[in-house]
Amino acid sequence: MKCIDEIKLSAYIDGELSDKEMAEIAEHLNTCSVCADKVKEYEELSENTFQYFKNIENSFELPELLNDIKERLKNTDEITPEHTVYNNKIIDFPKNEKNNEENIFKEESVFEKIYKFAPAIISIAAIIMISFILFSENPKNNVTANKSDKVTVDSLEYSKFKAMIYKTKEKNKTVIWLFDDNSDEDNGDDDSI
Amino acid sequence: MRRNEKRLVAEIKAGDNKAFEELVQKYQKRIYMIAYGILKNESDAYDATQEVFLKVFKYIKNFKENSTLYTWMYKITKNVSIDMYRKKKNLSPTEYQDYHSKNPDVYADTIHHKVVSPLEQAEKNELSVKMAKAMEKLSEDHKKILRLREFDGLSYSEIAELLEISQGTVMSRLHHARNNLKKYLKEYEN
Repeated sequence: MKCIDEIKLSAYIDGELSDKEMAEIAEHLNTCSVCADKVKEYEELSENTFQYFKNIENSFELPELLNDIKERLKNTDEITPEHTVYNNKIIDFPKNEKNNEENIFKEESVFEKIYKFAPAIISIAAIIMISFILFSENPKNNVTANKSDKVTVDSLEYSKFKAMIYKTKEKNKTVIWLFDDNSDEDNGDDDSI
Repeated sequence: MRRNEKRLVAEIKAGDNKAFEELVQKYQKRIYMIAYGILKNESDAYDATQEVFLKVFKYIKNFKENSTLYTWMYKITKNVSIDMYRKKKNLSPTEYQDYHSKNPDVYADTIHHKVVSPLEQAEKNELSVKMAKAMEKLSEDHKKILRLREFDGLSYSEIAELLEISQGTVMSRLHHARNNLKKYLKEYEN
């Protein structure tokens, strides 16, 4: 009987052939010492290879690994919330710092920028409005405010005298001053009419 | 999936922390060796191993059990280690591929972290010495496939999935690896 390919014998010792092939080879091995020896050789090789790797595995230790992993499990937020209990100890998850980082690096929206400067904008707007109100209260003509509550609302010039018309703010009275054109300054209430 | 693994997964999913500790103790060295194969540095491999188990703890509820636990962890280890290496060296995925094609993963016998070398370990045993010498001569691909099959006990389909090759290639590569190993062993016998 023809010998079996070595590649099939190699797969045979691994049990990786079809049931039919496995049965055929098993039957063949009963009658073919050459193939049977090859199978035996592969099996010994397989055992020695296992032992070689086992020796390597036995040649070093990682004594702290388990403890290091346990520590990281206790002290980290790397694990998901469903694993909050480890060794019957509740793990407190710190606030997600990643979110904080996201907030730090998140670009501000236009609205947020406006909101940030709102106090300054409101102050400037208030100043403008107050100024506007103050200036708008001033008479448009040649009107000037004096130190008292009187406001000059008009002035007239004649050849002989000058007339100035005032309105008082408080009592809403109109005061008309007439004074000599040659006089340098007016002298108060005595000249008023 | 092996019964023991199924039990472990079920217990971890149910929140049994002792089962998780058992998992770490059972697989830590294998995970470390895979990470070392990619990172080629003891300290980084240690960090990567920690990361792998943290990820396993975090995502085990998403593990659908379509593959074995070990193949699932193997993939996580590979991803974590490659990611760590790329970040450390500031490499793009393409640059990493270039690097990896020139510097394939190394396996097991190059670990020196708290390690007696395989040769020293095997000195007591003549066969072990010969095995260590013969294994040193094997290509990394052959070492890797022998390890996955003989030591990790993965099926051809699992190996094919991990190495992203066909099952036919697994069968053929394994056969070549075994034959080369036999050849190198005979060289040392003579």
